[in-house]
Amino acid sequence: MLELQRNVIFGQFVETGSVVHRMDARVKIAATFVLIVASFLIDDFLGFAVVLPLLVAIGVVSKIPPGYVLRGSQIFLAFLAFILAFQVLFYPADVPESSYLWRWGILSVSTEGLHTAGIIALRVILLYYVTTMLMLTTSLVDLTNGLELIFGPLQRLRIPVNELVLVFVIAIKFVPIFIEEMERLARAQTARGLPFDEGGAITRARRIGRLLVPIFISGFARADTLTIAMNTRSYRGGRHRTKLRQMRASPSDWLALALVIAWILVAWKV
Amino acid sequence: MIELDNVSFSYRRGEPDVVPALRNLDLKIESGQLVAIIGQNGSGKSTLVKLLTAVLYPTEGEIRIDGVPVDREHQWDVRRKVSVVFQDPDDQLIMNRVIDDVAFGPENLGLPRDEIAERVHSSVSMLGLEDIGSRLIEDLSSGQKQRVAIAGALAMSPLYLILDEPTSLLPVPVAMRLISTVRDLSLRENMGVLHVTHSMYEAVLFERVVVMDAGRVILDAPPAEVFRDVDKLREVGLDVPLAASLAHRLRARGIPIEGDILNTADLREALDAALKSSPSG
Repeated sequence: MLELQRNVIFGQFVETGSVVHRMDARVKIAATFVLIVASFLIDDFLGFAVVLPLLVAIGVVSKIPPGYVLRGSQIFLAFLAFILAFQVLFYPADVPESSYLWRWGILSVSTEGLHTAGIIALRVILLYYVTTMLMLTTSLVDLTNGLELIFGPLQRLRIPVNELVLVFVIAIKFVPIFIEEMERLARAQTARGLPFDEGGAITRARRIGRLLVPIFISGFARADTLTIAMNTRSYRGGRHRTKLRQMRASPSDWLALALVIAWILVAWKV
Repeated sequence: MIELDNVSFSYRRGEPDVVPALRNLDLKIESGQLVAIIGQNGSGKSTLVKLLTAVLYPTEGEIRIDGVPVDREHQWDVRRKVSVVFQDPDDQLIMNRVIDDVAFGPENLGLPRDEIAERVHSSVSMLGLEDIGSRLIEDLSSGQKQRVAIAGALAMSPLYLILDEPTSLLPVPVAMRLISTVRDLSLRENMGVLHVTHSMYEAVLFERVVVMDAGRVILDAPPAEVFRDVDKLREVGLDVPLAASLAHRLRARGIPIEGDILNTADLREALDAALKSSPSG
């Protein structure tokens, strides 16, 4: 069976009541942003090695079981490995002859290719890890409120910040719902004799592809109902809204952010 | 009071020979009344719900909700008076934590924080959700999710609550419990309830049953009266509760079943009485 729900955690929120969960969402978003920037700035293995303990620390403090995160990232990691294999094999040929480890026609494995692919892998994994951690530890309301407050000033430039944030939040909310729907469709197909866990990678991918049309159709239907539901619940854009929850960043939140920034500066400069 | 005055609605306006979804509907619903609306698929129930929530506007005729006309200009006023709960909670719950979602509606009204907190608190406790207030909605059962959706609707302090087949995805006992909760709330808050349903067993619990077919109201009476009209209901493809159907067949065979039969208890009593009065019994 596909078991997508267990294998895709992107967009999920897991409540453990940890310190990370209780942190101010704005601070968390800012820290995530810093780490995203870091993933572009750092360009050697040593830098990533310095960042690693920070990431481990965030994971441990958040109390989210590492096994859960790993299992939930299988599909992502498999996809990444697939892309990186291409990156290595088709690495542009202008490398010195001595660094080729293997060569066959246009395909090759070179130390340069491996090095570049390794850095790209670490960058993507860092990006994925920090955004996943942000979503795993921040409830949708906090995420919405945090993003709205951070990007609020853009409202003056007539950018509909509230609406855009809500679009983003709803998109995240629908990830698990779509996954569930996809599983349901897959089960229905399996019941009619179409196995999703047999055959090679291409056969499997083709079979999953068949689910896309029904998924899209049900997606549109859901979007339609959701629009009506939001309208009947008096949603008329962000500017009329007030908020139940207030955000309060404690000194320790700011301290944590400062720590992240300092750490990243060190990792970048080493 | 909800007043529908000669209301017609057509999804394809202006095209000739198109059967309208609603045809010359006249309906009055008092505030605080508990009304079940039943009908086959395509009978116009869902269109009616959309008209009452200002999602659609009548092609002809007029709808007024406590004097406020349902039109584009007054859509937001209408939605302050009417709340709706849909079939699938996954389509209407926006936020991922129970209290956050219940707060979504009141937040949209731009209420002060204290009042939002108060409304959330009271509607959460009305639906018995206090213990799961901070839980994630995706972890709840379908019955609990539907309770959250109802709490979200109640937090709007509506005069009328419209339930658009909210029980069709629920197991029967859960659905029945949910309906009786809503009934109690309606009595306590003097809130009108319009429950659109396929289930005759749920319809029986309401004071008034409106039967729709092909965009028209064909029966409108208390449940006992409606479910006596077995032939008419069958004609439009609707079923009747088993006990009512049995009573109907017994009567057809000349067995004197007296009174209104809506459930097995009624039927048992009537059968006892019939046995006692019969000379051979």
